[in-house]
Amino acid sequence: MMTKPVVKVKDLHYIYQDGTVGLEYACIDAYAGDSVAVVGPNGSGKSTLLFLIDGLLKPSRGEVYVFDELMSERAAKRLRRRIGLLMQNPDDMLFNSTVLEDLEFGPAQLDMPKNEAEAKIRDVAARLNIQGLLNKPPYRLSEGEKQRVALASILVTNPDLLLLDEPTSQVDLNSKKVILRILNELRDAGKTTIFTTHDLSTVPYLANRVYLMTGEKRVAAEGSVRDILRNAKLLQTCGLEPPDITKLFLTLGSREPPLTVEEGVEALTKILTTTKLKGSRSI
Amino acid sequence: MVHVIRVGLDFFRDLIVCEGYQSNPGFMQRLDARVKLLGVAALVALTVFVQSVVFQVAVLTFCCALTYLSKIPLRRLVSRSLAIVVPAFIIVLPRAFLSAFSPLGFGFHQFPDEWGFLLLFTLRVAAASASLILLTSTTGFSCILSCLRWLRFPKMLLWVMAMTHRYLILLTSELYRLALGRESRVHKDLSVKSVWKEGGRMLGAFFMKSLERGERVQMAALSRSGCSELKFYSPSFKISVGEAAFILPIILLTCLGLVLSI
Ligand SMILES: Nc1ncnc2c1ncn2[C@@H]1O[C@H](COP(=O)(O)OP(=O)(O)OP(=O)(O)O)[C@@H](O)[C@H]1O
Ligand SMILES: [Mg+2]
Repeated sequence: MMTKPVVKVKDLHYIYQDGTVGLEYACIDAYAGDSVAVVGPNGSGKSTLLFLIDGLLKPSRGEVYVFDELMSERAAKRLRRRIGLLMQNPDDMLFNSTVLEDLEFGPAQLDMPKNEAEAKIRDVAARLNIQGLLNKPPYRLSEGEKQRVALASILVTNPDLLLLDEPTSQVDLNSKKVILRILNELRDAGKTTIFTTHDLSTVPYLANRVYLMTGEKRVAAEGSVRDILRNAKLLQTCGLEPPDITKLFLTLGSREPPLTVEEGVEALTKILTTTKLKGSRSI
Repeated sequence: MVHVIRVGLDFFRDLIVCEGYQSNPGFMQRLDARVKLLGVAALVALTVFVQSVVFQVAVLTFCCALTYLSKIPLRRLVSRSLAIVVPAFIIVLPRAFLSAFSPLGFGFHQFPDEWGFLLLFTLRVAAASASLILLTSTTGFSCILSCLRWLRFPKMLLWVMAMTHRYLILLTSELYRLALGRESRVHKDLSVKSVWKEGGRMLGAFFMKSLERGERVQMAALSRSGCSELKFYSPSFKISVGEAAFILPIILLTCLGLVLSI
């Protein structure tokens, strides 16, 4: 039996009010448990695409189906109860006087019982290590802290579909690891994630499929993480490059270059052991 | 210039957000928010109606005691109150001189003299603002809103209050960032004329930015299912000995006010 996609984007096109084309063309499918990366250079329409999927913008052409329902102004209110959107600029998302009030905002809108919301907030805050920030006003936080709080503010509502605009762009290495772990757990729990990035090194850790966008604001290619990230030529046409470790192996002529440092270490160890063996034999 | 803006904005934001003290384990922080709100409202009403210097001093003393018990630095209460008292004083100051030339004395003739009025007025503003600052320093904004809702204030009014509060916070940080961005790129001393010109340009940019920012924030609220109806969690209400200890002095002050007014 074919399962239906959680998100289906058909022939999507959007023009902003001032006449700027925000998105030229996009066709995207995401299934339950999928983690889809949308990668592309600056201004390629990634954020616009997420706004369109969340029903915050109305497509100039094309259709968006979420949970098998056409995203319209009327349906949006209902559908958004199951969607969590992380905006690229966390400042836009934190508009209450304290972090705690910001975390309570979403659950309150969903009429979640207070004790349930409190337990959820405590849990998410502990996982993202922001317990110490709860009584601070958001504008006093560092950018990385803001990003973690903004992510927490959508995780507390327990959404089935996560739309994440550059979720790890501001955070340090440790926080990045924590965020990736949480997002992977959510994926294992069957939640669907669509995230954007232009930092391709995080993609292998999080995504199982990649959509590549061009400077002309079109989806140019779709494929598995390996197929897309190893295709340096294709990436180059979109102004992107494979992750450093992949690039290194590609330059050395490897046909199956690794995508992550861990894979790189494994590949190098293999090479070194074979050379050593060969070396000892020659002696 | 950026320094002036920063100090000003910090002060202003501090007035509307009162960060840091709401979670202190102090006396006022532990009180039931409804009792606190009603008590402070009573204090403010008393300062308005009782025309006695002694009474205003008594209220101020009460506020200072509460500040101490709530683990808030007294200096903070004084500096925040002064921000309201000083402008109020400057506004009424000319009246003291003007009324000397007026046979009617602008209706202030019931006081022993104009300077006496000035003293009473200043103390009154100080007492009222100290009470309010005490309330906002120890109670979260959404908590105040839910108390007002419990008191059956119109939903529309609360919505306007919530939005104003939200955008004041956002716009002050926007203005601060804008000032910082400009300052970091301006490397020469500006003449008075160009300060005006720059200021005007900055104000224009600020309005445009605010507009864009407002749109984004509205989108963020929408994406988290926020709509025109205001929803937030009410604090848990409970009344105990602390509330009585707070209300008793207020009742005594009311009696004192009555005695002094008769
Ligand atoms: N509010 C707006 N009004 C007019 N044009 C806009 C607006 N927002 C974005 N654009 C334009 O739409 C295009 C796509 O923008 P978008 O923000 O979606 O890009 P992006 O891929 O998210 O870029 P980045 O990687 O820098 O975040 C850009 O050319 C941008 O200039
Ligand atoms: Mg973007």
